[in-house]
Amino acid sequence: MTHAYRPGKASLRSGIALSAVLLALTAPTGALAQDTQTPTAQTQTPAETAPAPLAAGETHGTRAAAEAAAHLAAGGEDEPVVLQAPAPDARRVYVNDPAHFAAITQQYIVDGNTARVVGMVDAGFLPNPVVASDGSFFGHVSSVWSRIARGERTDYVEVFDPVTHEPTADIELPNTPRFLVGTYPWMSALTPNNKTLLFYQFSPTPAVGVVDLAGKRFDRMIEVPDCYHIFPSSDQTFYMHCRDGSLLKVTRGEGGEPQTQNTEVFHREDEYLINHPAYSPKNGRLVWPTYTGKIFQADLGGENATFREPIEAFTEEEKQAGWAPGGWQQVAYHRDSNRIFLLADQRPQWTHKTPSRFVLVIDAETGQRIARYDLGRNIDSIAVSQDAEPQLYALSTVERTLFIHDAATGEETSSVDQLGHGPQVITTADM
Amino acid sequence: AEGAADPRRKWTPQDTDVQACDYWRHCSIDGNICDCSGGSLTNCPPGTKLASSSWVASCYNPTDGQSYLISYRDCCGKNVSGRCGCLNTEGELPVYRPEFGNDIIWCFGAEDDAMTYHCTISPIVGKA
Repeated sequence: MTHAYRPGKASLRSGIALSAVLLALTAPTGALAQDTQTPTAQTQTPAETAPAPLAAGETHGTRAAAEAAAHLAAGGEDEPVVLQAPAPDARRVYVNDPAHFAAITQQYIVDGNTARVVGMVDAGFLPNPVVASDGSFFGHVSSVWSRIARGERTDYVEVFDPVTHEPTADIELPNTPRFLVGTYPWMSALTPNNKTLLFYQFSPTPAVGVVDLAGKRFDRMIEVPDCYHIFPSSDQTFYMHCRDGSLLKVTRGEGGEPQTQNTEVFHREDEYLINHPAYSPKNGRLVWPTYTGKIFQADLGGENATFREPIEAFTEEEKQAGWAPGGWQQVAYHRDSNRIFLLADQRPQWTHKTPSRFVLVIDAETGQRIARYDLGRNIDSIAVSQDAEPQLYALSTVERTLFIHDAATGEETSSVDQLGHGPQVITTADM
Repeated sequence: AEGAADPRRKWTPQDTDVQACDYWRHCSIDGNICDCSGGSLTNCPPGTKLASSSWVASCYNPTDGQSYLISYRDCCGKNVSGRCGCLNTEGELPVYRPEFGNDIIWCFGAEDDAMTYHCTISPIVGKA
């Protein structure tokens, strides 16, 4: 970088950090820009160094203004280009806004380190987002209509480059098979090798669609019994949860007839397992709370599913006092620390989709409660990054804001607001 | 859509205003009240398509002290109305019990295969 900077606010930071910030946030000038072959459609190479976190009292806007002023004062020229997002890491967060059933929707791509929106993609009606386990792509299963919300329907899978956010695949799904439902993350899933996308069909009969992402083509529909959700345990195997209270193991096989096998029934008919369980494809742990805070866990990574002793998140006294989970994505699981995060509050029965103000941290092995965080506001969805010092993400649908917390202390460290109309779904990758 | 009041308040039904989220027949509605966009309590707005399928709930009517089975049917084929948004979950069950699950877009059976969500009606189909 050749820019000179005047002393002032910017001088509070080191020159190295400032260079990195400038590289990430502003258009390159001079040699970088001249390297591009097409001056009318320039793009920037991704920043090699992530931008520094904001200082106290600083916002992205004030930082950018200071940098622009310094650039201008130094005689720098503005040479607009199309930016690229920083390379994804474990703290890349995808916030999906189903927009209260609107025909078109948006996905916000957030750098959790800096609490900055680094890009967006558009989608149709109630899309299901997916993110590759190695961060190499993200995408969604989506639906559009030829005349806004009527006319000919097209279901499709779209795959995006994580840095340019350009679509790299657009695969049509024949016979409009998508299940249109409030967004449940595990109604669509990638196989561990990220080569296959699986999606659920509800009507006319339960089925799972297989999309060959590597070959960029729809493969086939697999008919299944009366079961829901998709939890891939290997590149050829996934599990579902059935109406009768068992899990179903489905082995796809290459081209041949799929093999299915039910586990034992593991919960009673009056124990209601929520629509947003947590699942770690990396270690096969399925974490599934009920309306009352009983948490079933299964390990799907082996030859067959093995069930763990259920955990009660609340004591009998707490249940009597009204404590229960509630919200949209009510549970998160951090693989390395083997911790469960549960969104909960005091509430009457049958208010299980209204937001909660508290997060319980629970040891998944012992069932012991480690902490209870008071987030101080109404939160609908939580998730955690899977790095060693995880961030706890807390999304408020009504405030349309993602609050970022230190998962170890519960302390709120930053936030990102103005996330659409009714943001509900947080997706991260276990990189 | 939550109201301004405590989002965790207990459901307390009324029988005086069909456009309010606490109207007794809306005890398990998810989306928007059709009466607010040209439909009525039990009819779809012009230009939309009436689904034949539904989810159900047993809702308590404070006027006569009876519980009734409400068959929530969606009016489909237009973008979401955005008016009188409402989400109640009395007796609402997870998706593996779909007959009581209200996140599902219950547009099945609508004319022209309309499957986009516009609003929901709350007709009675029987006593519960």
